[in-house]
Amino acid sequence: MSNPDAGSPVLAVIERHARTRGDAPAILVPGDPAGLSYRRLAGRVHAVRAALTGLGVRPGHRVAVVPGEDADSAALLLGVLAAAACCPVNPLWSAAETQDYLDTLDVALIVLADGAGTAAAQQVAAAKAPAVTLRFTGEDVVVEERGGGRPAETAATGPYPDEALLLRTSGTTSIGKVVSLSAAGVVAAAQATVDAYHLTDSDRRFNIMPFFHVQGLVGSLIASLLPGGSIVCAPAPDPATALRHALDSEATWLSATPTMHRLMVRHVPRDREWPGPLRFVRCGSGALTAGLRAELETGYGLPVVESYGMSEAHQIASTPLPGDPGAAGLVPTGSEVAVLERHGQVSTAADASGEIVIRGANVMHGYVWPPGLESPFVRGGSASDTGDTGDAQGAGWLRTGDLGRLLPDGSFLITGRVKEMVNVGGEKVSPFEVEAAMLSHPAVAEAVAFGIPDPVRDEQLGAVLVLGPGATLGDEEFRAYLGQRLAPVKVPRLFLRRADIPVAESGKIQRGSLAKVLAEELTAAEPTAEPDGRTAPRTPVEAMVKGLWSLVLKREDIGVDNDFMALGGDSMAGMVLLSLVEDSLGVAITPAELFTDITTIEAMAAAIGERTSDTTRGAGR
Amino acid sequence: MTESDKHRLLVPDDKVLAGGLMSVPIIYRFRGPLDRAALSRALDRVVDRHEALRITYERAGLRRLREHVLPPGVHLPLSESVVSEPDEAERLMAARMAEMFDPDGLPLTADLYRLADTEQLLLINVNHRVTDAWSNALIRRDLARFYNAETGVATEPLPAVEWLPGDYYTWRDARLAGEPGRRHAEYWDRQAPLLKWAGLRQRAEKFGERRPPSRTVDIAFAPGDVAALRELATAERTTLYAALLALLYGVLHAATEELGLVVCSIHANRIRPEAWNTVGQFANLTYLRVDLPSEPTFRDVLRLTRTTSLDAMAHQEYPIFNVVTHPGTTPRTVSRAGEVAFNMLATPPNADGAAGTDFNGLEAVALPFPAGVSSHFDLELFITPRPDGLNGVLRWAEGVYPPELVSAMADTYASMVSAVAQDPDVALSGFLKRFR
Repeated sequence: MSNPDAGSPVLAVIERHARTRGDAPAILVPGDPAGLSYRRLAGRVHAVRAALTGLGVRPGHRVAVVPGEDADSAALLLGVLAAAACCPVNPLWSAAETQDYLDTLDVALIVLADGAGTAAAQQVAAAKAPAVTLRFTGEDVVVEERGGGRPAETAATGPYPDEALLLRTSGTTSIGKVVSLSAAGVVAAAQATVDAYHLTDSDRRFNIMPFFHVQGLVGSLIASLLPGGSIVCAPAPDPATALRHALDSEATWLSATPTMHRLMVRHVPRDREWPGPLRFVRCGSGALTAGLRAELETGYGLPVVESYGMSEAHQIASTPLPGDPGAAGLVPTGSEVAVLERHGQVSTAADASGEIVIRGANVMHGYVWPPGLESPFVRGGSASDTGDTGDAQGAGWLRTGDLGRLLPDGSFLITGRVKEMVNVGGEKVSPFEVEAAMLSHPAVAEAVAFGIPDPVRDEQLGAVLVLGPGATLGDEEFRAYLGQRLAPVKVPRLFLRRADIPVAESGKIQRGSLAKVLAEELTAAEPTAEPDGRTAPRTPVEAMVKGLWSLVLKREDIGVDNDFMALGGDSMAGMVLLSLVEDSLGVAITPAELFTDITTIEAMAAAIGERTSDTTRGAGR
Repeated sequence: MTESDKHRLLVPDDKVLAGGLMSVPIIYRFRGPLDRAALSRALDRVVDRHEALRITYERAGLRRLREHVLPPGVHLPLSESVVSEPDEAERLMAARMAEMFDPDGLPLTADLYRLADTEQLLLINVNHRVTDAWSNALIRRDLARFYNAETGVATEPLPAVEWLPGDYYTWRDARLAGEPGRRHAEYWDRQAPLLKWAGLRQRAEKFGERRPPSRTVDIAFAPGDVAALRELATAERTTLYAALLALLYGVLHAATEELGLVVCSIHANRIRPEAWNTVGQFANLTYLRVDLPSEPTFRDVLRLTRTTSLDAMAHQEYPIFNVVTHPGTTPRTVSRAGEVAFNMLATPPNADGAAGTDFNGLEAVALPFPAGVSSHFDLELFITPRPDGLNGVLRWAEGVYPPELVSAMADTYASMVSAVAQDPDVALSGFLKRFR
């Protein structure tokens, strides 16, 4: 690490462009056609690096950056990246959260962008490390010490000598995990985007993604700079004006989350030349449903590509642009893609399915926080298809937590998310499937399915609905509609109607934490009793069991806590019920249980959940 | 009908066509102006509706038959004879039921015996291979409905026949090939060594000998006692079925002083609602063993009966064929365990069971299983729920038991019902002396 430039491939790229085409714009903001040229950007990056060195920062140190959303913040981040391990911080985190994060990483210095605002300064006031504000004046940088902390040079360095970027994986409530990427990994990740969309020096990214997110920093900023192109910083998008700004700034592509796209596509300017130089739109950080894809293609009148990525590797794959070889699924861009089959075998065979695993130069070192985390790499994995034998990182295959299936044309499909699968009484439900069914209803504009923790059945299925303007849709009507498209277990038990879908700071929908975020609304929406005072089914399994009880007992007025015998169930009805349960759910309940312990719908649904999830015991009693 | 039911495709003729044992009759006494032509058309519609009633057999070797199903539109001949007195009708009916079934004909016959212009007996003799008690209740229901329709009465449409018998067997075979089959086999591993004679017979049965004709004796129930039994059953979280079976165990214990008792029970076995409107042979047997403590009270017997019957119920679908061929059992051991049977069958929804059925303009009474016909079982207790309570019949094989023993058992059963209704904790020891 004696030669700082050796660890700064991003700086090397900027310098190369500054030498060959120094006046070309690198970073722009709407309303400022000149922007920051490559020459001026190179000057600023050097200035930041020099300032940091003056403050005691050495390569290998971690430096936190609280960026704004302007061009200066972009330059600041690139400068920090060139000098140390860059740790972007979201200005919207709470002070306690930020302090925890920075102390955990033991950062040497906290750098506030001038545009980050005073709130950011308060946010870091109590952290152990010293904080400074860096302000650009021309090519120079002015350092304002904001006080305190121990000298930067006493800080520790991370476990990876070539650590260049630390990213917090997004999460609405938890601190998430901290990803460590090497400088070469960052460049490889950005290059994947360049290759996937054939980006050149004439491309211009219209960026609405924040810089503390992998999409904003790597996929947008660095990916634009690698081929010598440019980026327009357009923070905090107002959907109505975002597309106007994209047109005004002559962007050639833009990217957004599915939710942002849904909002923006309604505001395609009709009064002027659309789409201008825009050649495609990209959708990332969330699953793009077929319905939304069609809506976007029609609304934008542009090719829509869906990208698949994560903080741990940035872009992994994308659907192809028109003109590229067609594919039925996502085409790997920066990584090799395989699946981890049920028996722990990594497979690249066509039609193999399992958890998606990836490897390649863009894949992270690993997580540096929280400590004691189980390795995200395939353990002792042997990549039989490549002839590799397992090494310390399972031949380098990173487990993505997503479920997928490999297709014969070399592409693959994402079929679910391991983490987002909702466990309804042992039945694993993919929220994607539920959402696709909900979105097929004409009254539904947006819909998200998620798990609600349940003491008895692990989770229940809930859904947030955003209805179209003026549309109405009753719960029962909607359940009946979904009942024709989904298995009963996949029909949400609770629907919340809202004006919007709650999203994380990155714009991503965090299905795993929606139940927590919406706890109060969910409690208010909880159905307690049916009109006749009987307790209504509270989970899809209970609803299904109640259906079978009604069929057998030939009555509808059954509460989930009513006793089978008390409802008139005799041995004949009992045997019919139990064979129906076993035939439809694969769960065996004995007559002795039905007349002794498992005497209510509630207890039966619980037993079904228990026996379905307990695979080691089989379906026996 | 039985494509999937391989062992049924080729069957020994004497087992299929034998009279008596294979007879499951439906008998009506009609009083009033019977429309004979309408009855005949109604019978044809019943045969049209139920595939099982259109099965015929083809010779496939010296003593083997192959099954065929005729398409709808088959005519069931309705024979008619004039008889001078009820006894003659009974003799004729007994003779009909003792006959071999015609291998070329349908698996049922219909005979009308005219006693007077306004009184007739109808015997529909159905082969047990295609019917069971549940199926016969369906036939009765459907026949009444079609008769009414044929005589111009507006009738409700019948519920659809959802599964054909072959669908049922396919479903059952799939279950038996899977986890349920494994459970049943495991149950029989435990159960087979426990089968035994009830201990009532004076001499061991000579296996394979001709079954003797049977005799019956009625058991009367006081309505109040039945209500008390129901209450007791509910309090013990069990059913009237278990209470009545426990009483039979009590009587067997009193008669034999044995503590380990085995009773064979017949289950309708319609454990899928899709089969509720299908005529076919789906009923099955289970063997229930209780091991009583010494000096048992009735409540002891009831609790043990509850446990053993719930356990057996879980395995009621295991076909008798599988039971007979199960390792550790033989036809002989199974037959031994089938000495005493308990028969309290569930009835199909919307069918009125054994009670009279409404035939347009007629006074119709469904008559019980006639005496004289042979049975598989030596001693069989039939319990039939009626609107006004219960009807009990004890049927026994003539010559196997002394008539006094059977009378004493019927009396003991009736008095035990009353005693238990008074005090469920009554000791059974008091009943032993009736047999000493």
